[in-house]
Amino acid sequence: MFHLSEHLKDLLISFGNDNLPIFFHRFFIRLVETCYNYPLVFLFILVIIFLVINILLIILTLYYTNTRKNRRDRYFSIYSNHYEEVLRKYLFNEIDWDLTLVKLKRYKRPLNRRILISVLVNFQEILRGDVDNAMSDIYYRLGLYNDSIRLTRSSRFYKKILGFRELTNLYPKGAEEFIEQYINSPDDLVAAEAQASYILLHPENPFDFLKKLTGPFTRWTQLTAFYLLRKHPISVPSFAGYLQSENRNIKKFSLRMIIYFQQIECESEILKMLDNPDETVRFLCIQSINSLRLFSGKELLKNRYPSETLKNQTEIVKALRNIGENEDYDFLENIIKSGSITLQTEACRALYYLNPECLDRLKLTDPKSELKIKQFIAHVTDQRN
Amino acid sequence: MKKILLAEDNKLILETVAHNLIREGYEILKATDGKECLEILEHTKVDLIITDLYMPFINGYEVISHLRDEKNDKTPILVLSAGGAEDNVLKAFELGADDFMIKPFSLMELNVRVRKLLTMKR
Repeated sequence: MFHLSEHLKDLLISFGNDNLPIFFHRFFIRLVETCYNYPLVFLFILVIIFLVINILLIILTLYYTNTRKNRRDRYFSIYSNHYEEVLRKYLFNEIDWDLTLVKLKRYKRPLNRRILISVLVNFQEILRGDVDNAMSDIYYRLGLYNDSIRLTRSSRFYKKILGFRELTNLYPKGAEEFIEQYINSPDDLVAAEAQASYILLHPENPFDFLKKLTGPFTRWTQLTAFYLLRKHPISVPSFAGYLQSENRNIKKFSLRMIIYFQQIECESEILKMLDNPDETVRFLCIQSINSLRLFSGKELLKNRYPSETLKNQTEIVKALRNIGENEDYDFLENIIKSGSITLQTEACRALYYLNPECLDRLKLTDPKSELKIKQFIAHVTDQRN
Repeated sequence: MKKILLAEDNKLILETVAHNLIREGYEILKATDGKECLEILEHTKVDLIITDLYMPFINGYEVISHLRDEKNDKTPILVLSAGGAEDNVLKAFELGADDFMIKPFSLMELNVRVRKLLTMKR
């Protein structure tokens, strides 16, 4: 090692003697000798130089990307404003189509087409009526749908999703053709977006895709579907048919929708769900019976009570508060005598609201439990509970 | 010429509604947030206020409440908002708004409502 470094030193000195000009030669020789006499100092200087170069590179990269981003944002903003102005004039019939095309400068450039599409989507999001149709018309006439279709073929999920949204909003007919193939996409995000698009594209049968769904029907998509149902003029289907689905998420969603839209016509299908092996499905089923006041399900609930989980037992007792009758007093009394605290509280609440006198009878028949029942009643009648 | 104050933080909506109302023959004053809206109202009398609910600095609710409770101003107020939930609508009316439109909205419908509010005022 020592020999090698000595050899390298000799090589450097002879290189300096042979090739360097006289004014630099002495400095170079001194530098080589110093470095070999004080190797640690040399190493330290090298590290510092390396770090400084690194910092400079980072600063330059940051500066370059920042400048590029700012320039792009400025470009986007200038052309957005310009396109908004031109489209506004076109919408209010202040300029005709030919003049509009002339004024839509550089609209053939890919970036400008992106800007134009985003302006059209923005217009469509805030305005409805004739303006809404005009935006779709411009989108079609300028062939911008080709740009969106190209996005849907991208391998990147966010580009695909952007393409779906643009087509669904501005060119529904075009979107209908291929959105179905993405409903069961292996990418959850793409599938969720395709499902949301399907709902918007088929306002008459928004949930038909559930019959073809092989992948998960995520909670996020369920929430989106509910949001779309409320926000857009979409007809609400009867969810009874979807209760037969093998996908338990579809069953749960359907039961929630049945409760929300009070679809009492689904009574027989709801009652069948009480035998479902999934605890949450049965829980929602009990909630449906309670919410829709399905008195025909009362005996079924009572029969199921002993074999149910605590969560579902509590829900059954809650349901009896609304669908219970005189004949159910004994059932509730037994729960007060033997159930867990949660069940006792709910049974007491149910009895209190069905017939408070019944609780007095209970106190008389079982004097030992009088104090306990008084505490339950105090809890039930407390406004904060 | 009737004077309308338009308070909206979304530039696209602000400019489009303003453009539409100018064509209808109204004079338009623009504010991009609630603070600017109140500043304009300090020194200018307007015939109608169209306001968004969610704006920077001072929101639409505060603008309505300030005008009705503190200034005792009876200028008609039309709320133009994306927050169309029942709670928002009720709160706006309780504070003193005269009309409520949910985004997306139709410009033709807006024109009719503006005309109606201005007539009612007269």
